[in-house]
Amino acid sequence: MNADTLLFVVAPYVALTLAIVVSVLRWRRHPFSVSALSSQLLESKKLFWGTVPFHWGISLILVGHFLALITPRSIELWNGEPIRLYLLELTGLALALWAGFGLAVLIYRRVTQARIRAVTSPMDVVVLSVIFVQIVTGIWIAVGYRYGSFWGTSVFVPYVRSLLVFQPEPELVAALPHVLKAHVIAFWTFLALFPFTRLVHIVTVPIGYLTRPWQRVVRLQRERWVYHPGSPRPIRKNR
Amino acid sequence: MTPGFRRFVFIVALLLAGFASVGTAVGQEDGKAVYDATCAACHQAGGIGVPGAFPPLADNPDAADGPYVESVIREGLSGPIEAPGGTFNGEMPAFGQLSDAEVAAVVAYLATLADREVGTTVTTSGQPAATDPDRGERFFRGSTTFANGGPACAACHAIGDGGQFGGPGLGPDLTGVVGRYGGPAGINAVLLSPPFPTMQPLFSDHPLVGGEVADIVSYLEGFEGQQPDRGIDVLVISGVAGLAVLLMLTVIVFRRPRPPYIQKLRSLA
Repeated sequence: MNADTLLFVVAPYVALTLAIVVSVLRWRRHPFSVSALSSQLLESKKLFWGTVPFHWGISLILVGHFLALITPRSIELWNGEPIRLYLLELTGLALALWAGFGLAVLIYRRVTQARIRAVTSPMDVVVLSVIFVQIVTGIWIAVGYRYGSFWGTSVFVPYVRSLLVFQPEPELVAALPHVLKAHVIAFWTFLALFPFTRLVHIVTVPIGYLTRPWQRVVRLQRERWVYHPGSPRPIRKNR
Repeated sequence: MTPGFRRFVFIVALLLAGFASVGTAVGQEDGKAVYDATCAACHQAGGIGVPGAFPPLADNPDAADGPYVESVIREGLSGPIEAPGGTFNGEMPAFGQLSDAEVAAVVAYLATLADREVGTTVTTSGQPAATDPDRGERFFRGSTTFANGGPACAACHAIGDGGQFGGPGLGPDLTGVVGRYGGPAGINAVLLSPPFPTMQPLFSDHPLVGGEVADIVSYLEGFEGQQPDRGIDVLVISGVAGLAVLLMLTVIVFRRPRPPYIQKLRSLA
């Protein structure tokens, strides 16, 4: 077995199996652990500039990738006119930069804020690193190997489809430049990590979070929680 | 290389090839398979070559010179060369993707071709009568799709002063490519069966057909003698401008003043 088979055939199947099986197990056995583990209460100003650009940017880009996978022909026909191709590529690049800006803020916040560092697990660092690689290689490809929306429908779409129908064709990606391969490998890594980390919150499809006001912390003025001597838990006490 | 030495190499290679063909019939078949997949696009099946562009490998003593052939495969070759059948001026890229075993197999296979008489020389200089550069441009850009569903050239390649909005594509710039491949016949042969590892899997199931190739070649010929000119990087500049717009939207749309939650609850009641 050569490296290409390992990276572009074995790795995706292992990653896909882990993503599905472990997600289902986690959902059934530890349903309350399926969470993004918000740290908004610990720090919220920087979080706004990180989470809003990152989540909007990355979601729209994922929708674009998914559209190409399910209907590549429509994208090819759209791209047949240079001006339309330019608009699509420009939109993709701007969204990627937006998501990258948000991720940079999130990483900065996690590293510099003591309160956030205190709740950071090693897996959070791994997750941020993998997404960072994914976004940097994505921007690199958009700028340095132009028109991914155009050649991607002939290179990556048949490759992913070949995996989904269990007739893998790794030769489609094996001869590509290293940056493109890194983008693919980072995605399989992302998929494999997904059920073991806070990324698992994606399975809840939290679409509503994209449109609701980004902060809604409700304080009940008329009651408070106090610790009584000898009580392990706080109890509610009306004023 | 003197003719005498060349003949000597030729005979040694012939003997080696003879031993090889007796000893490793499997290896020779592999060599033919590699040749058909990688070399035949330009040098044609059976090694008959393309006049003016790609020299014949059958009935060509140079093709039996193992070390020479190997170095050409490894490093590529460009510029005019003399070979049986006249002068040839195609451009051969380096084929780094071939393994040592594959190169050795091709070298062995070529040695068996070198002494083979070429019965008929195919002339491909006669282009099909009606080629349409405008239709070629539509194929190139992708506004007219290929019959077998292959990807448009512009997906990966820029040409002249247009194409990638000021930046590099996935594939090389095609300005002046017809000359680099020794004229229309050469580029025609390449497009009908691309030898490059990136293009091969894309077009093996979706081959171009003769009329399409002829139109594209006539479009490509219009850029002969020009220099690639991409100007300023429009995509990057407008992408950064797009980021600025999105950051403004972030403030306008999401940082709006929020009404107290109690208001929403009252409105629901």
